[in-house]
Amino acid sequence: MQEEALMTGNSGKTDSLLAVTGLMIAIFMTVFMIIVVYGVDAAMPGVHDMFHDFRHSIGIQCH
Amino acid sequence: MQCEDNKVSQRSTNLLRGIFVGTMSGMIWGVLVLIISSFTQLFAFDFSFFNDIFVFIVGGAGFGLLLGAFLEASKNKLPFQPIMAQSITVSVGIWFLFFTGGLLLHILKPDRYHMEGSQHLQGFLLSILLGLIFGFFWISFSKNLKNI
Repeated sequence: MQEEALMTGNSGKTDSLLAVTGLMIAIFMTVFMIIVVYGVDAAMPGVHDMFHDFRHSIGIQCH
Repeated sequence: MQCEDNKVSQRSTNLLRGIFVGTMSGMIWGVLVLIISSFTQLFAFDFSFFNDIFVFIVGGAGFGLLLGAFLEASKNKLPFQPIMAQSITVSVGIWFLFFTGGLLLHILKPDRYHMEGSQHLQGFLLSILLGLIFGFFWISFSKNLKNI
């Protein structure tokens, strides 16, 4: 049964809770990636500077 | 029969599976991005290789996580089925979204955000690479899950 639940991803409330948690993580990471890619100079200058090389490497416009 | 079960497993929506596969493939992709960028030398690095490796792994994990989540959410709606083609499409799509955002910033603040053709081309090709890595991991992960 557990094996089946893992394969299909349909095991009721627990899986729904996990899916919502996953979605929240995904939304958080979306915001995080926006900061990583574009930078938020006023709010988080350290993060913007830290990901400078990564941003250039993946071809996103930068200073 | 096993093949059918495997196909059903790959088609079902499981956000955590997508996030897990995406994060793992993104971390590996991040290291590859750093190595490839070190070879291509398209810009001057601000930090050393060893300082950057953690940053690239974290950045790659974030990019991969997004890819996994969006692919899980959209894979049944895409007009073609092979997971490799889907992952490449979504990966390039996410990269293009970021690129378009940067393009808007460039239009608004041309002194601050510069266009660099060679870097954009590298980023585009690397997004295809991420799609390939993700597709490979996805196929392997689905097969292993079947054997648990």
